[in-house]
This record gives sequence, structure tokens and C-alpha cells, in this order.
Amino acid sequence: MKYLRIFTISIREQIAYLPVMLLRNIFFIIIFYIFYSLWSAIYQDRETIEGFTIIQMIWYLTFAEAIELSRCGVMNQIQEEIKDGSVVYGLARPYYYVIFKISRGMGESMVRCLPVLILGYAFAYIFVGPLDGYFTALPFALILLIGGLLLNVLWQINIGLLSFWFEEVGPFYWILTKMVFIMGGLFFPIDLFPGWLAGIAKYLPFAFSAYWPARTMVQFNQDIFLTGFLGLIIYASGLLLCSTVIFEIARKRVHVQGG
Amino acid sequence: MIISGNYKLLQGRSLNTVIQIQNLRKKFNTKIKSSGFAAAVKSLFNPQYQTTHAVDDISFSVERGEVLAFIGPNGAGKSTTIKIITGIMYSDSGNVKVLGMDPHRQRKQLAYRIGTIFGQKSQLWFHLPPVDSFYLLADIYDLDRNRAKKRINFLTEVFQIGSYLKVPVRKLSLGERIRCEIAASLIHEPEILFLDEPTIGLDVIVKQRIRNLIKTINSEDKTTIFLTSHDTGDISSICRRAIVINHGQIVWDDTVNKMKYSFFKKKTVDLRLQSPLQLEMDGVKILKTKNSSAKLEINLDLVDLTAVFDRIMQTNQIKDMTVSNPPLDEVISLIYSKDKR
Amino acid sequence: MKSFLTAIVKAFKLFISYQKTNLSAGMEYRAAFFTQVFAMILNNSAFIIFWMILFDRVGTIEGYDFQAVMFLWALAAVGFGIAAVFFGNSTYLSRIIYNGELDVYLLHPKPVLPNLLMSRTHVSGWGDLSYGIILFLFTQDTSISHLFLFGIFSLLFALILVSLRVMYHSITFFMGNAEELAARSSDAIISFTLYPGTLFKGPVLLVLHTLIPAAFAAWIPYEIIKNFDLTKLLLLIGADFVIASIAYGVFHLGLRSYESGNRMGARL
Repeated sequence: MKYLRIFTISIREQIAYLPVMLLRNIFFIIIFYIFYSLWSAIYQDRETIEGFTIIQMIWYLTFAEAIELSRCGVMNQIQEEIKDGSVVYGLARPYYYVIFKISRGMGESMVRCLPVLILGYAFAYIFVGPLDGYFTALPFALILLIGGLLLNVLWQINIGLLSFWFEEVGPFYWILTKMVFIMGGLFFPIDLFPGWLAGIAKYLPFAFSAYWPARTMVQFNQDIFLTGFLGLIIYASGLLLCSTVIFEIARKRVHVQGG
Repeated sequence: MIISGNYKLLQGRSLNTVIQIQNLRKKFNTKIKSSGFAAAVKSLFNPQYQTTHAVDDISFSVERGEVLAFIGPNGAGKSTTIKIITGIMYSDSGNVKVLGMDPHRQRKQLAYRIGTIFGQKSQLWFHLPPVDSFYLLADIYDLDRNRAKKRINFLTEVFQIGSYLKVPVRKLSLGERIRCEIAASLIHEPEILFLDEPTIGLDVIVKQRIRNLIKTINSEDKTTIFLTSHDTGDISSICRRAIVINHGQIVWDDTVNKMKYSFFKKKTVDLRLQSPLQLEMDGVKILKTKNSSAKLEINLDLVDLTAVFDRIMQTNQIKDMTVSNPPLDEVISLIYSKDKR
Repeated sequence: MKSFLTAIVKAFKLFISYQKTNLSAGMEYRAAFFTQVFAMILNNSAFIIFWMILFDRVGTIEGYDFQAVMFLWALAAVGFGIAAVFFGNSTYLSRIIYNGELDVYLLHPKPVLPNLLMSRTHVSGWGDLSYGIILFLFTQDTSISHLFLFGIFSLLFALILVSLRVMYHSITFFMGNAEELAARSSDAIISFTLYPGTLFKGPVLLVLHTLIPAAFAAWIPYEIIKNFDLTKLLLLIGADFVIASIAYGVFHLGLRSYESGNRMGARL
């Protein structure tokens, strides 16, 4: 299974950067700490906000951040390969480029994700105590979390492939991450939005790489999980299809140009 | 150990000394890196050091207007010495005076009066045309606008860089860049110019051009040139004097010409004669004969050149001849290899 | 006195010269510049929306309201911008030390550290700078006295940020490449300054006055601008100069070891 091998190799490559990763993780603790301080101040004079207790809020944030903080660098790789022309070699190899990039990207993100998850767990446990039903929710939440990482990888591939037409695709990705940031519920659950906005934001693709996985973690029930899962399937297939189409159009273009 | 007599002042005329170095020493302590986790932990608490004598009792002096080659194999102590002379590094002991100053204590004052070109470390801004870097350097060296303009015009003319003065450096060829680089280091009219491998990576024609430029600077501005290079072509065509350093010590300090003569006691002679050569003499080895031409190797320790020619002319006539020294490369590697401690 | 004045004039001339050179180098890449500025505005705006929604929900947080947090954002943006534009090399210090590029600056007839810090600009810093000023004008009290104080605080913010970077990057002189550590510390101080200072309590507060002095960079300035207190202002300036002097001292201690040639990883 060659895609599995690509996946494991990229995991091993990431482990080589352990010292850098350690420092980065210390920085994550700082971010968690800032969030904790902020929310414990907010919860001083109230029990819940939109149905979230402080325990749920902190666990929610560590989980949502885990997806955000483990973003991989696949888009940059694709952009560079297209710019320097080495993408042509990728086309000639006996594997499918898009799937290759997905395997790589997933390998990278999952290695980055694991320490953040562990740190998040330790942090939340120490600062606000255990989350009820953690272990029941975990398997389901993990599925959605991996799905969230996958969505991110797919976004990156789609945007990266746009380098066939655009000089610099960084800004597109920036816009995307900021959309996840605000509309995806990265900094607090979407439920805190004004009602009409919350209604829309919950079903936009951005919510499926932050809000739904994290909410499944802290307020697990079948409906929440299934909504998250269904949205994930729909958006992931959509993005996969989209990247395949973009790639095929680009491939024809390369051939026409005699690449 | 080979130390030739101290380099004598030119024709007894007292020129002023620009660099004076006495008994310079510098040693380094480098941590010994050990492999294995246990050893690494141990070295954290009780590090083991190894001492290297990078510069081990060096003395020499340089007069104004000299063109000096400072050579030696890698790790011989060249760059340490230059760093000490330019004030970047301080020494353990010894006396260093450059233009009458202590280079480390008076680094800033000294910087106004020396110029440096150190291989990879460019003074030019990669994305900007050289002229912008020139004016920035003029400000760094506190030149007023008029003087800077005059100087830049002068250098532009001498270095013939007018046509790409306004082209971003990244678009210049290596040769063009080096010319601009040298011009940049001369903006503030330094009295001494330190050049490190100025012709590395250039083709023969460009190399020759750079060498000529260095000669021009030396004669026009009376700039003292302190050159390090592995390229013997640079040394033999630019420098009058060479200092060879190895294992932190000076192993040779004299003129480049003398270097060739006193090291190889052998000369090669190409001859064209009236008739085929017939010769048998001690100290003469016939390398090749073909019809009436011949190539000989003569050992001057055993026989004089004139004696050889006299002998040949007794029976034959010399129509043409060339006496050549062995290439400088061989001389230098001989100097290096003779000094194995 | 006169020589001191000429030194100031000379330093200023060099500063202007570096800025001109830096700016024209930056303009070679206009597209990248606008991309970066655009990204930065987008990023900051996302946070502003976050705070708007949050304050809308919860009222004030530990004495800070929306306007107060926007003051922190404006201050950090301008301070960060000043550091990026005028002392751009502060983020590259480790690399410069590590690659031996320090020699170039040592051979210039100028004080090493200022010369070094000034000689590079991040053109995108102009974006942060103008963004911060606009944010201030739109969300804060724009009386002359407040504008004046904001100007001083921005400069002091930049001073602290640059000092902090110099301090942590200087570790490279003694213990090998400290680039990652310095980068993370500089990220950390900026992250903290963007949140109300009153959130943090206990021993962390000690860290925020020392190793990551966010308190001096942003929170104390906010208190002063809210309730002006001259003694506090003077104390703040004093504290900032202590931090800057420590950074300067650490750098020069490191430089001394660099000049001895015994630094780690020395390539001779």
C-alpha cells in the first residue's frame, strides 16, 4: 500500500524536528493559559454561557485548537513544486498526485496533532478538572477531528493547485484560515454568535474543522456527532472532487504546453 | 623550519610601517564532543576542552604601498590572523599595531581607514543596484555627499562599472559583482585593503581583469594590499612579497621571485640546436630529445647553468632557448610539506 | 556636548540612509508587500470581530471593555510595526551570529548593535504601523495628550520587543542556535499584550514583569493613559530602560565571547 508508506515516512520526517516541536508546544501552553485566564474571568459571575460550562468551554477550546495548531504545509509544497516545475515529475510517477498529497498532509498533521492533544488534555485536566463522558465521546470526536484535519489538507491542496494560474496563493489560504477562525468556532462555540449568524455559520464548511469536532467532544450525543459526520462527508467529497477537477484541468494544460 | 631573513625595506628608503605585529599568539579552546548519551551528560557537567594554537608566535610588518600575499593551507591560522589585524577578534598575547592603532580597542577608528572584502560576505544589497549600496556605505563611513559623489564617479570609471551601476545586484554576473564589491570596499579611500580570495570562481579573462584592477588601486591610491588567495596566479601577478603561514607560524617571508629561486634548485631548459644534442654531465638530466630540440633538467646545486651551456656550445650551436622556473603551485606545496611538525 | 550632538546627527543620518535603502529594496517586491499587508489586516480584523462578539455577550472583562482591548491592539500593532520597519534585523540576530555575518558589522565604524538592527526592514511593518494608527484613531480618544502618550508608548513597546529579541537571540553566542526560542518569546509577549492584563494572576504575573515583560509593554501604559500619573510614567520609562540595558549588556557579553573566537560552533 504505497499511500500508507508515504503516510508513515512523513510521520518519521516530522519526528526528526522534535526539539523545535517541543518549543512550539511550550508556546501552545502559553496560548492555552491565555484562553483559560480569559474564560475564567468571564465565568466569574455566571455558571453557563449558551449552555457551556467553563469545563466544557476549556475542553472545547483545547480540542478545536488541536486541529488549528496542527495544520500541515502541503499547500506550500504544492505551490513550490508548481513554481519550480518539479510537479511534472509528480505527474509521471505511478501514483495519483492528489492522493499522494493527502497521504503526506495527513501524516504531517497527525504527528503535529498528537502532542497538542496530549498537552490539551493535561492542561484542561489540571486547570478545570475532568470532562464528564470524555472517554465515551473521544472515539467519535477523534473521527471528526481527523476529518477536520482532512478538510484542512483538502483546502490546502485545492488552494495549492491554484498556483497553476496564480502567482501567489498564500492570501487565499489566509482568508480561509480566518474564516475558520471566526465562522468555524475556533475561539468560542458558534452558539455565542447572534442567532441568525449562528444558524448560517453552523452549516458552512468551516464549522466542520473546528466547531463540530470540539462540540462532539464536550456535549456528546448522537445527533451532534451525526450532523458533524454528515457535513464532513459532504464537504470532504466536495473538496476532493473539486481538487481532482482542478488537477485534471491543470494536467491538460501542462500537456498542451508540452510539459 | 624555514625562515628567510627579515624582509628588507625597499632600497633603504624609509617608508612608514602600516602593520606591525610582534609575537602574536592566539589559542582556542574547543569543547570535545563525545558521542553517546552518557558521555553527552558527562560533558555537560565536566566539559573536556582541547586547545589549538591557531596563531603561535607570529611577527611581521608591512610598509605602506606594499602588495602582500598572505598564504597558507586551510586551518593554518590565516583567517585568525586577519581577524586580529582587522579588530574582529582579540589576541591572547603579542603586540599588534595597524596604522598606529590597537585594532581591537580602536576598532571603529580603524574601520574608517581599512577596507575589507571577505569572500562570501557581500557588502552589496542583493536586490538593489550597486549605486544604492555605495551611497549607503558612504553614509556608514560618514562621507559628505560631494565627496561621496566624486569618489563613486572615480571608482565607476576605474572599475568600468558605469553600465550596470543601476542594475540590481542579483542580475549581475559574478565577475561584475566582484568588481562592484571591490569598488564598494574602496568608497572610503581605505589605506589598507584586505582581500580574501578575490578571484575565486571567475574565468581566466575576468581574473586577469580583477588582478589589473588591484594593481591599479595600489598604484593610483597607494593603497596597501593584503591578499589571501589559493590562486597562485593572483599571487605571482599581483604580489611582490609573500608570507606563508602554516600551523600558526610563519614559514616564509620574502619576495615572490625569491621564493621561486630559492626553493627549486632545479631549472628546466628547452633548447633548439644546430644538430642533435649529445651531452653527459653531472646534474643534468635529459628529459626529452627530438631531432635537434631537447629538454633538460639542471640541478643548480651540482652544476652552473653557464657551465652547461659552455659544454654544449663546444660541439653545437644554440639557436634558441628558454629557461623556466617550476610553477609557483609546486613551490608553495613544497613549502607546506617541508614544514611538518 | 557638541560631540554628543554630532554623534546624534550622524546616527540620525545613517538611520535615514538605511531607511531609504531598505525602502527601495522593499519596493522591488511591491506585490509581496501588499499581500503581507492584506493578510495582516485580515488577521487583525478577525480578532476584532472575535472581541466584538465576545464583549457583546459578556459585557466587561476584569475592567476591560472593547475600547480598552482595542487600545492594546493599536499599541501592539504600532509597536510591532516600528520594530519591524526600523529594527528589522532583530528577528534575524541568531542567524547573523551563527553564520558569522557579524563580521561585516564589526568592520563598520559604527556601534555594532544599532547598526546591525537598523540594517534591515520588514516592509510589511509599514502595514502594521498604519493599521495600528488607524485603529487608534477610530476607537480611542484622540485628544492631543492621548495621541502624544500613545506615541511614547508605541516607541517604548518597540523598545521592549526589540530588547527582548536581542536578549534571547544573544543566547546563540553562548549555547548554539537560539532562534526558535527567541522567536517563540517574541510571539509570547505579543500574544499576552493583546489580552487584558488583569486576567493574569499569581506567579505568572511575575513572569510577565520579567522574562516576558508584557506588563511594561502594554498593560501599564493602558493604566497610565486611563488615569494619568506622572510618577508611574517615569517609573515605566525607567523600567523600560533597565530592560533595554540588560539586553544591551547580554549582547555585548556575547560579543566579547564572539571576539575571543571561542564561541560554540566557531568555524575557523
